Amino acid sequence: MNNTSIKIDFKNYSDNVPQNISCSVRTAANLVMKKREERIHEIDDWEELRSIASDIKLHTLENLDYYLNVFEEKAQENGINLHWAEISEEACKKVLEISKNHNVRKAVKVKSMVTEEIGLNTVLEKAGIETIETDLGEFIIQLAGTGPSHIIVPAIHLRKEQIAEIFKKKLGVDCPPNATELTEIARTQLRKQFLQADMGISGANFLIAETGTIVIVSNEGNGRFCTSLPDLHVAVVGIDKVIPNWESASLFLKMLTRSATGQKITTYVSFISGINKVTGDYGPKEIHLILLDNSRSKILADPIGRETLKCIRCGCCLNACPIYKNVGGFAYGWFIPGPIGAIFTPQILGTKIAKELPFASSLCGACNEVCPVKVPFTQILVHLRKKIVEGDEKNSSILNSFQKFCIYSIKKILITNWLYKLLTNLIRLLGHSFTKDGWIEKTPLIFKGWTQVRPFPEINNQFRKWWNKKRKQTYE
Amino acid sequence: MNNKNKVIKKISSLLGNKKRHNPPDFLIKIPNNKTNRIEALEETFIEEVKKLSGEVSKLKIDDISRAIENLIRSNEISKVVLWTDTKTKSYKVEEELSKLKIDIVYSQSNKMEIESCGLGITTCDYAISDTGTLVIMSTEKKSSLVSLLPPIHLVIVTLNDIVPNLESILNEIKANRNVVLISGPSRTADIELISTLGVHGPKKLIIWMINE
Repeated sequence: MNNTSIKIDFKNYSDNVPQNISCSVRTAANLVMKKREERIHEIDDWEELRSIASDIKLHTLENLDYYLNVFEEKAQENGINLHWAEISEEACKKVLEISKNHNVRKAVKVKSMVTEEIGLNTVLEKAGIETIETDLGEFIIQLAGTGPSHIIVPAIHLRKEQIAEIFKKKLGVDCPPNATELTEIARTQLRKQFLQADMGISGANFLIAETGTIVIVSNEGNGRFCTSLPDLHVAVVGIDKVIPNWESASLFLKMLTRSATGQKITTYVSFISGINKVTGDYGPKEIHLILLDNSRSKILADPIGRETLKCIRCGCCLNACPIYKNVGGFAYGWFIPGPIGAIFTPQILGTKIAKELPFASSLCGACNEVCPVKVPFTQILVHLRKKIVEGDEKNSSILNSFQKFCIYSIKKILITNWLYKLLTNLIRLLGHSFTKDGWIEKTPLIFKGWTQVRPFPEINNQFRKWWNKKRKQTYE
Repeated sequence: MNNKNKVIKKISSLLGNKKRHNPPDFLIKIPNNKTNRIEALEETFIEEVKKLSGEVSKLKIDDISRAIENLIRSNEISKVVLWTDTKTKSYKVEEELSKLKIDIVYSQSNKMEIESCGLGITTCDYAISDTGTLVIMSTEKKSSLVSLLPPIHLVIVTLNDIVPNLESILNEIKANRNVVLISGPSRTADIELISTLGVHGPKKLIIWMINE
């Protein structure tokens, strides 16, 4: 799923989700949540850790200019080439430029959401650079030509038999539909690619400002392959991925792995702090890191929206969301689905394109409960809904004035006794003309909606008269 | 340069252009060690590695030669890549392999050479007990490719390597250019959530705990 400039029609997309996708997504989500529960019970103070993680992230975001400067200084000291991109197109252009300078014909990619955000694969393919996804799930859906249905296990909606079919069609390899043999085929195919590739492309899970370090986690090992076999390593990373120091990195790793896959730690964690100065054929000769803004600074300016950027991309909110578990990833129209998609996409692509997404939620708050960095999803969703409903500046001032007038009038009527009595009596008298046998069958004009389904009872606001009479009777 | 200034200036002004100070000391909680006894830490380490489908055996230093022979024969290995740092050399693995007439490749070799090996032998810089994790700080003599390319990765670990958790060694590892944490063999669950080992990295992770 690449950049989109067409309106995301969540209702339509979700109405057309095939049954098998909801089933597989739900099974995957529930399994991960179960494992997550087990991991959390092993820790005494999970809730406290969530608060600390949230505080660190918020502090970093509130001082992002400082930390970005520190990160750049340290990274460059270690030989990492740093580039800055304000918008997606600039990032893609820079990657293309670096590829051209190094005569890159083949690139291997680690799963990276930000590269999907900027549509990098399409740009590279157009320029004649073969770009191969190496994460097994991403590899499968790349061959299948579809998008991901889940951010952690993107091919979860495909059965073994379907995968065997895809391998037969696209790789020309016959294989029995069992997971071990299918994995073996992928291993052999991708091993060739890793060794022949001119460039490795990755994102980063975290950027440690203290030492200018790129942190990449993976279970399969493709993270290590892409960043240590080719001579050139290019990383594209959002500016919101910066964290202050190694101490916070160890905390975030703990929170990330438990929330994303229910593991204490992923099989591999790579900390890349630069080029190894010693000559030796065991690492890239050049590392380029492109820091991407793409409206994150705009989100930073909004004190409520800012909390969106705390996200560490664990996917736990997806696994908890009853909406997502029913419709899967495709319905959200962009590379990032679920609750995080519902708040991130409108803030990046704008509320015109992603108008429906903040409403794609029942506000049950399950996401709030499970988020390891306490992103206040429901608060942000309501905040975005308000923005969408109030519309843009021009329209809202007219609406605002009319609304203000109505509220003023109603206030005046309610606090002025004679005005209230006058108006209610007027309405009662008017109502008489439409009443038959104690019921109003059809309310007129703009009020006709009230009697669309059933009749309106006779308007008989005689309470005060009755009360006065009763009071007189009581005291007589 | 241009772009950097644009981005940073935008952020500074949106945040209010305040003067930045050093970050407050966050109370990063170091997990409570239930024990500091090295034997208990060793037991936990072994337990955690087994949970991750790693194979662990306890050996005396004299048993190494025979164990290598068994490993080579049972896995039909003909080519091995080794680390060449002092620690790894001290186990005299190279001598045993030469006796068995096995092709030996060294850490400094190119990636194609390392790729063709059936077994990679390393030691480790640290072994983290609470997650069964091996810490490797890459250098020329201790290439991380040795632990990545061959289908079987053998690690020789001693009691001295064992530490309770990652937090306890942060200062020691942060200065290094390239640090890798390894916890078990390579795995995936991308196909129908069925757990499969050996996707890209090693299929087998074998750990020998040496009693020195």
